[in-house]
Amino acid sequence: MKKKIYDAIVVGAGHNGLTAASYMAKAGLDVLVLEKNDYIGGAAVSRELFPGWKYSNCSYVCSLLRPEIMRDLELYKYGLQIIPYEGSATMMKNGDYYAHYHDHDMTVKSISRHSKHDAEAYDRYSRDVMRQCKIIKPLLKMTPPDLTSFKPKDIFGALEFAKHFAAKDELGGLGEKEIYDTIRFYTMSISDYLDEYFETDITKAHLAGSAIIGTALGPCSPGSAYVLLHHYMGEVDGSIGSWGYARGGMGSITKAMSECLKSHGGTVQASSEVTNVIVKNGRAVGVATKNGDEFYAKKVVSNLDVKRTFLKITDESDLQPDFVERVKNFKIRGSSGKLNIALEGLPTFPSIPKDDPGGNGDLHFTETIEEMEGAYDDWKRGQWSKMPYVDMCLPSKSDPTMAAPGKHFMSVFIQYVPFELANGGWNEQRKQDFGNHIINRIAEYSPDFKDLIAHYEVRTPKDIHDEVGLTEGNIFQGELTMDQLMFNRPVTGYAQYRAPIKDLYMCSSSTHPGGGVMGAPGANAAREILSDMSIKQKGNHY
Amino acid sequence: MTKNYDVIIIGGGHNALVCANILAKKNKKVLICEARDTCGGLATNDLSNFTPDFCSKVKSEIDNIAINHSSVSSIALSETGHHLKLTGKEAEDRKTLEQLAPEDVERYFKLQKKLSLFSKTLGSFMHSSPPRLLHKNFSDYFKLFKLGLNVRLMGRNNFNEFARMIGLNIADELEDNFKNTLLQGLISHDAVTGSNLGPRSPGSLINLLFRMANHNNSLFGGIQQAKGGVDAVIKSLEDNVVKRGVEIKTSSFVKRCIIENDQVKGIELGNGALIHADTVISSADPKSTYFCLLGTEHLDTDFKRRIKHHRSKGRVSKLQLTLNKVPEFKNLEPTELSQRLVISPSIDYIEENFNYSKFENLSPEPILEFSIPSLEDNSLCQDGQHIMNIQIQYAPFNVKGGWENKKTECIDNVLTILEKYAPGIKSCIVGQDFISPNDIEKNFNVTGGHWHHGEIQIDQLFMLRPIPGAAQYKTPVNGLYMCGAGTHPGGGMTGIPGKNAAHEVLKNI
Amino acid sequence: MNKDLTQAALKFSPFHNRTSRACRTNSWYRWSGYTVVAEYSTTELEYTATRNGTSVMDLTPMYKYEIKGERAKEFINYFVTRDLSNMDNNTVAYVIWCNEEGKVVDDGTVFCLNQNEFKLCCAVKMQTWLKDSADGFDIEISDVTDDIAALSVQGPTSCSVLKNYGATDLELLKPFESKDFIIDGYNVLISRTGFTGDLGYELWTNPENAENMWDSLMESGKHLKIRPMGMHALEMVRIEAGFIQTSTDFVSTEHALRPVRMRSPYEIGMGWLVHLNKESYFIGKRALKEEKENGTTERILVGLDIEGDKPAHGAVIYNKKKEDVGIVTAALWSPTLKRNIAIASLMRPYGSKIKEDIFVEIYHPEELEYKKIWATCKIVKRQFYNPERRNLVPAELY
Repeated sequence: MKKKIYDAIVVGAGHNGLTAASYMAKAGLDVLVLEKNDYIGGAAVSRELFPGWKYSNCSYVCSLLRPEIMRDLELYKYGLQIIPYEGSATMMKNGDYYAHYHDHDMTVKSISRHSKHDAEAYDRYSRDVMRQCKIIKPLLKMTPPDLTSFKPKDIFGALEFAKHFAAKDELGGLGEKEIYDTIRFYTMSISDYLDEYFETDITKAHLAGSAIIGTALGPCSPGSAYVLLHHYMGEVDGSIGSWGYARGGMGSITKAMSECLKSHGGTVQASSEVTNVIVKNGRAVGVATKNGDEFYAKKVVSNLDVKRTFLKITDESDLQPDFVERVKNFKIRGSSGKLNIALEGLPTFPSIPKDDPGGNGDLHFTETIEEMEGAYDDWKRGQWSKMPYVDMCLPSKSDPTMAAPGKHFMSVFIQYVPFELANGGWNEQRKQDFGNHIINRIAEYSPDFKDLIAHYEVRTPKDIHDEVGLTEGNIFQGELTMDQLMFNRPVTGYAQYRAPIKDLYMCSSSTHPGGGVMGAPGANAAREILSDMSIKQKGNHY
Repeated sequence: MTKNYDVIIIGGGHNALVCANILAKKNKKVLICEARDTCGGLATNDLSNFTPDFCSKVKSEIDNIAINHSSVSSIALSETGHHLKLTGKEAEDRKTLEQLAPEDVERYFKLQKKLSLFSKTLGSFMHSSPPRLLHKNFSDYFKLFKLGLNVRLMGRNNFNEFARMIGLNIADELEDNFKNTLLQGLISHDAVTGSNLGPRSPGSLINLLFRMANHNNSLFGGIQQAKGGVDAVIKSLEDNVVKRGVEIKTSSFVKRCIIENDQVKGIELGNGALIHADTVISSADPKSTYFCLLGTEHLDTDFKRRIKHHRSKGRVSKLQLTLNKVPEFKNLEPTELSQRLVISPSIDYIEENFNYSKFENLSPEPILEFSIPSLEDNSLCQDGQHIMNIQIQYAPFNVKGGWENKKTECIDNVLTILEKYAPGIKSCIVGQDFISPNDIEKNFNVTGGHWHHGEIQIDQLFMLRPIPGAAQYKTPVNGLYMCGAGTHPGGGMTGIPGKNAAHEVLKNI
Repeated sequence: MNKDLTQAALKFSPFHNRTSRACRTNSWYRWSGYTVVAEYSTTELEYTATRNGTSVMDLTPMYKYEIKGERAKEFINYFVTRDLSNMDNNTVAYVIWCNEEGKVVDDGTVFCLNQNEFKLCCAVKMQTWLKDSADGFDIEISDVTDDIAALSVQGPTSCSVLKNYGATDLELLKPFESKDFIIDGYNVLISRTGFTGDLGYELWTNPENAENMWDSLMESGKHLKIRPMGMHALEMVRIEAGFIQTSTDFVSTEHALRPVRMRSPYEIGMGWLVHLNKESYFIGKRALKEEKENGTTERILVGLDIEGDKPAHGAVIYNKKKEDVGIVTAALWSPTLKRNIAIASLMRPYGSKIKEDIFVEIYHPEELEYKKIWATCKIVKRQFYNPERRNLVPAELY
């Protein structure tokens, strides 16, 4: 019997893989998605790790997921609903708290409790960051041009890029001053950037958090201001910069995507770990899995990060040594850990008044940039941070589907945690020590917290690396530094989703525009693949 | 008002002198006002150990200076005694590396070649004023195009690599290439020296490229010492401009510029004397120029914000020791002590140091670069004595606790480290002189006491140096220019800012 | 530690107890972090009070800043485009100020209390901009928004109302002058200023006197057709008077996300406030000079007299029904003038050189059906309504 030849095989059923697959299936291709785990979703999952509680045990908030993708793939039909945050707060040692709210006037009022100056400056700061969001938004949809190429497509692409910055139109309309501002924004540290606006530590610390989440940069490292943008450029219902929960946990995103895929005739097969890409005559023709199966397709699309794609499932002999070296030098650094906690009740945080909506969002307790930078210094030394930056949230406060009424699920994101510890590798003991360290830190701000814990899961970068398949447990599948962005991502000269092997493509967060549950790399990759196959997409907004 | 000049230059540093020289050659009547009793500014033996010779493009435009420069090799000290000595000469360095870091030899020369190519490309941007964006000016577009072309002409792979390197940190590049930590430490040192960056801070690589561009595009080949030290170079520059008819007033602190109707009219000295000129060039740092000399009532709010946020806090202190004999360093020949000696054993050592300095703390184990120049040049001190110049990084401006309290602690830290490498050195000390960044600010009128009059970081380079909108040596006020290290391409004793500024001025008068 | 447990999003003005009692519609409006009345009874009656008797409006949410110091006057003169070097004590000046690109940050009024003390009133938060602008001036700037209660008392009988209230000889106060009074034992600053285009005054006092002041005013105006006025009616009178409003007719540089949305003074009809021949420098002078010399002004703000009686809210303006040349920023069927008026921003040369063949496209609702109307319009002076009584000295008394 002749083996079936699919139009496309996607390796890895994370949100980008599923996005790419869905777009391709929607355009009429016969698509197969292979997933190594026995569940799908990659890092966007809801799993019942303890009976009665749903765990968003990797990614935990949704903001970056492009609305155009939700629209094109009709994800609402398959059950996706985003619930906006009500606020966010940083708790202080002196018993006070600093909060932001969904309502602008309330945020300003709240900041002015700490500093009138900062409350005023907040408007200007929001304007400037919002400007940057507006500038970057259309870039997310673009395939980065190859600046060295003389092909008309690339020259036009580069001009398009340049025009976007220079043209006096609706999109950019940047003057000389704004271009300088943009260059500065992309290269500065968040600490320097915030210093230009704010005077109090608490304001700066509260805002700087977004600039370090998931990266191996500290708030004082140049380039960290861009990371802030990366977290801010998301939107919930057109309100740029706002964050939300996916109803039913992050798994409902990938679940909706896979439902969409299936409805267009695609297939997702779990428990099928791809071990290598089959290359014949310089073309990728299919993949082989661990259980010995072989699948063939016209196009192979890897949703694994660039290191796994080229160093693990591709034979090195099929690649140029130069390229391999560049892939090896691509920086994917594990810097974050997680604690997922099932709670028997709502823990009290005495510093935040009861019923204050500021408590119904992300909670923190890092009060100064210095403390944050100190946490980073610990990481550089190969230790988990003694005073980590913690991003906690209780989705069950807004989402009735996460836990039984009265019970709560708490997601605790911890920055920084190294992939490898200086004093040897991770082991069960160290992992528990780390978990306890964090629980004790939280308990300092919530006296009844410990007693409410029904079950908890500790995830070190190592665990995420091993289980989810993100190298070093890096949530972006590659650092978001200047040398690894846009046409440099993942490897300069190969930023257009095509691998050096014909018919092999990349659609993971290692490609432009990078990580976060955004879907943009997947959608962009699908567009490039379809254009290579001369298939026109109809009615899409992406 | 007194006698008329075509141009008044505020400050008498090397950039001012280069600038004056070029202007005087074009028959401009130039006056230099220097606040201190000697010219040179930060370019003095008290602060600078080494100085590269001016590059040919600067030399060709100024009068010949009769100074002998001799090459200096760089020695990274190791506690084990396996010091790493690099001279910039391939044959010698290959031999050294084969012994100490056999695995890294090929990669070292490959990296040196790559960096050299990039620094050359960067260097080609240094000799004219940076373009402004979107200013509907053909020559600006042409400059940008040329710049892009220069980069592209390096070839596809190099272009890609260059694009990647602009934002890269030095530690990543070195760890990807080398195994030897001493070599990593030495190169990282050069990448972060004088800056507020650690080896793991993105952007530290471009800092190294800038340094290389000023050092003959070589990692270690372009480091030189002048006979008589930096003072001799200044003296020679000074003699030349005086010969050209330039007037130099020392001990003449300039209080402010006189502005009428958005046009510079002259300056007022500290003693109240007014001197008239329609062109004034400030070689002072950007903050002093705009906030003190010009006055904020002549500037727009956004402009003031940019100047205010210009980062210029120095992180380097200087310690000069007077010794009664040549100290003995483990495994070092006495003759080698006149070379550039660096104690910066690894990337982690520097990074740990940097961790302290980020928030203005003093590191217990600072990075040191030192030499004993009197071994080569006995004119520098009394007979039978020697002086040792030590540069201490990071020793931050406004250190927590204040320098008046921290000075002793800092010196003790330095001597403790030196004792490890040269047991007994403490007993040779007969005198010491310590200069913190705060002292530099006070004594040399450089805000923040920063060597380069402002951080060398991407957001403060090229068309953003010192601040966007005023990066072409011009200020918003007609007739007022800048020529100091705060302008493009930045610090180091290169004379390029002074040269470029002179051309910009000549274009307009 | 001052935790605000109520966490109400909006602040209450010191008049809130009075305004909320007077407000029969329970219709509120967000204004600069405060809640104020949008409509007390009906907008038309409140409007008529301004043109017929006296209207009283709560102005407290206006941002107010105090500028003090030996160089305060020099600073103010540097801050705004208008030449204020001869500004006298107890006078008020309408001003605008720009950023370095010569684009308007905001408009407002400057009060000269004495040569070393000034007050600035405006619509946009200005503390950081003021502070950063004052860098190097060594003056003191404080936000006194919440420390001053302000009322606007406007209309033909307003002078009489205030005289009854206790402002002796008020009729002699000239437009743009101010005077300190002690009434019922508290200090009130009264300025002959306003946003209605009619005879009118603004009263400034300490918040603790607010309720007393409100009560005495209402009592004093009992027989003089006094009535509180909400934000909706204010919008009507200010359009008739041709006053521009930040965030409606132009966007402040502090709020503009797209740089192309920023406006120079020449583009919003404020060129008369730019004194390029002012001796000293002012913020934006270089850019404005360049704009003026090179004639690069792109837009113009004009008044429109539109055919028909359907107000042209947000309408697009066309030349010869083809080319889109601008937009209506504010529109009104004027009850007093019985004219269909609007303020509009046009792309030059339309509105400046080309004034013929201008049309607006109005979508007018008629019981849920929209009717599209092509209306011709005339370009006219923005000041539609300017009664003689507005500037009379002594002011009209009843």
